[in-house]
Amino acid sequence: MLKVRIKKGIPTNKFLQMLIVLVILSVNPMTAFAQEDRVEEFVYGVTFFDGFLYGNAVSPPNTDAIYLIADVDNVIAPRVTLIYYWPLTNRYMADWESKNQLVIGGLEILDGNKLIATIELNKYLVQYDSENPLETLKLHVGEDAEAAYSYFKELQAQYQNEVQAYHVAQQAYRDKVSELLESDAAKQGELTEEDFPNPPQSVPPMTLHSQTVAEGFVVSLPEGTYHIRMRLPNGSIQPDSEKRIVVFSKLQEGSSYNVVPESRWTKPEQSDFEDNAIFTIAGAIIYLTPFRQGKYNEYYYRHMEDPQDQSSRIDRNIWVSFEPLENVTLEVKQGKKVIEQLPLRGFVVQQLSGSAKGYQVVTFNPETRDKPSFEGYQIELGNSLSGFEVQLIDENNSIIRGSQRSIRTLNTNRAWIMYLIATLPFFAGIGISLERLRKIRRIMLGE
Amino acid sequence: MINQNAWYQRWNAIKVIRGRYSQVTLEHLGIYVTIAIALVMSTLAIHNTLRFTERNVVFVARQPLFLPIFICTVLVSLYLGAIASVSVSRERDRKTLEALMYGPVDESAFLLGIFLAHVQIFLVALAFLFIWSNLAVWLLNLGISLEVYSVFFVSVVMASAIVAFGLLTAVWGDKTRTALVIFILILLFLTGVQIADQIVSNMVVSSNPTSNDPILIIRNALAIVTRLVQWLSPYAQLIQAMDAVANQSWIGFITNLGVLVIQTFVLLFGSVKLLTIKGARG
Repeated sequence: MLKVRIKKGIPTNKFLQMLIVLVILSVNPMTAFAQEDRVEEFVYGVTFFDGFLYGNAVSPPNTDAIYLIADVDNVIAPRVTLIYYWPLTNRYMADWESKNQLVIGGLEILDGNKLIATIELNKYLVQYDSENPLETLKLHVGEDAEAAYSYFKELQAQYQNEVQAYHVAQQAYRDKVSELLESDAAKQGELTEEDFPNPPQSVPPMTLHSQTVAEGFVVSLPEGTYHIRMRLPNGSIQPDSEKRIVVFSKLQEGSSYNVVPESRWTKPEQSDFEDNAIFTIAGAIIYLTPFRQGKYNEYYYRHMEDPQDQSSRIDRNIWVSFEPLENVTLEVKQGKKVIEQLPLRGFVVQQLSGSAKGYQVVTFNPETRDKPSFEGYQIELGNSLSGFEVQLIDENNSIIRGSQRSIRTLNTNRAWIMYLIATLPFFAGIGISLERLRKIRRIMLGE
Repeated sequence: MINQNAWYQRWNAIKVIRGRYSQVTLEHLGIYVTIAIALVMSTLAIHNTLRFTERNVVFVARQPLFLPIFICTVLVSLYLGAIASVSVSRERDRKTLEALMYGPVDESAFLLGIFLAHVQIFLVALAFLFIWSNLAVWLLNLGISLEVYSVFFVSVVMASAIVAFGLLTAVWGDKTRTALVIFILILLFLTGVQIADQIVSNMVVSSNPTSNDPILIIRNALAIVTRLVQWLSPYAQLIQAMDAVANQSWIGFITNLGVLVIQTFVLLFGSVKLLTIKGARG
């Protein structure tokens, strides 16, 4: 921390005062704070499976539990690192770059007071292909991790060679084109397309993603609450290594939809629940993109992602959307009758030319574009009021669980009639009151 | 034989009191104005949905009729709870309750008669709501399901609990004004805690919460109070029953229904006991 002391009696002019202020302001107080307050601590680095991909979190000493999904491989890595308190977010952070030291030992797992397992350190690595993460995602363990990393390095080297070769070929192509453009034939206008060489083919990007091989405890536990501690080679317990492990399961499986109105495609609505109805207006075109989703306890799931989370609550559940569903067909039904089966198709959003803002959504054509803007089912609503049900079916004609939704076109012009109907009890009350007064008058007249 | 006769007389007294009080209320404009205001508020909620759908093209909801039904039943039950409370405390203020007790009416017959009268009036209000919601479904193409009818059913039990609570505050508060103040303050507290919890929860989620954020202490305290209030407030039970219906959780639905029935029974039993202890003069 920078301290500026001005002795009494020394005359300071305005320039000096400004200089002092500038010097103080130029020092980032947060950086200074972080530099001075880093403390060497034992932490668990957690590589957790979130239901779709692997994520990373750090469990510093101020957190008492690690949250993991049941019956899948997760990794808990014992590390000594520098921990500092970050006042901007009021949470403890790990400075992995300055220190990331593996702690050797075994992880003891206790169910109550009973030791149920001791896990030894193992090599691990997470690898997946971004083109198809669902089927390629894998946590490689032990020798398999080494082999997977070698394979990744080979691919990386091959990719770098191909990219280098492409750059060389592209330079040669440019030189050749420049040469042709400066030739006599070009000046005389005798060049044809055939005189030009074919441009080199670009190298497709490398889609395999990999971590480096690291060491940790590979843990797969059934649902429940356990205690962990780390036993060091000398038989003692590593300080700060005792924590709870809360292992939780998915509460429900389901399907969600991104509902995209054609006229507002950047503002999709989300339909998470099976009993959700999708209301729209007559004449609208909407697109439904299906996703696999899971329902979890909010507190457990958010604490798995961030052990220092403060916003989640134990009494609430959340739906978490994962990957888009593929190889499924949307069945449109009216009552029990299937009226249409829609395949999943790609769509491209094209900006309209001209100064006016606008776009149009067209069916994806692989010959003109590399990738669609989004994939989904196009539903065109007619101009009449309608209501129908939709559901997803897989290749075996089985209904995908939680995929049923009803779609209705609302009559938005009749709200005023509802206001009129709402006032009817008032007029009924006036009628009843008048009738009562009439009866009283009749009785009084009779007397 | 004597016992059977006493119960028969009590039942007759209950029927007479129920008939008298329901007739008086149904012949006055107040209840109709309340139903009309409640339905206009419900229409406002539906209008909001329509306007949103028109502008956004798409509106995703579980059942757009749940909110209007909730608004309407809450307003009508509040009114009925208040006038049930006034009915009892006014009889006591005017010393007519004491006169009634000299006749074939005892504490339980008197309170049960008033209770049933107001539940009957709620059923009349529900008939208006039923017509309104079916017309909304037909005119706006909303789509109705069995779930909406099950919410109608729970709302009757919810209103019963509110009316029973009105009776308890009447017996507890002695004077009409005191009874009404107690009734309104307690309901405001129960509703206020839940609204505050909702607001604070959303604030925490939206503002990147931190471990020493002062709002977290309030949030956690409110969460604890809300958890308690959810078991005590008939409105919270109605909301939970709606959620249970929407989630197809019939066990949850029956639990909420059971809690409402227990609340009604406890409140009614409590008011009869309290009236017996305090006596007709207060």
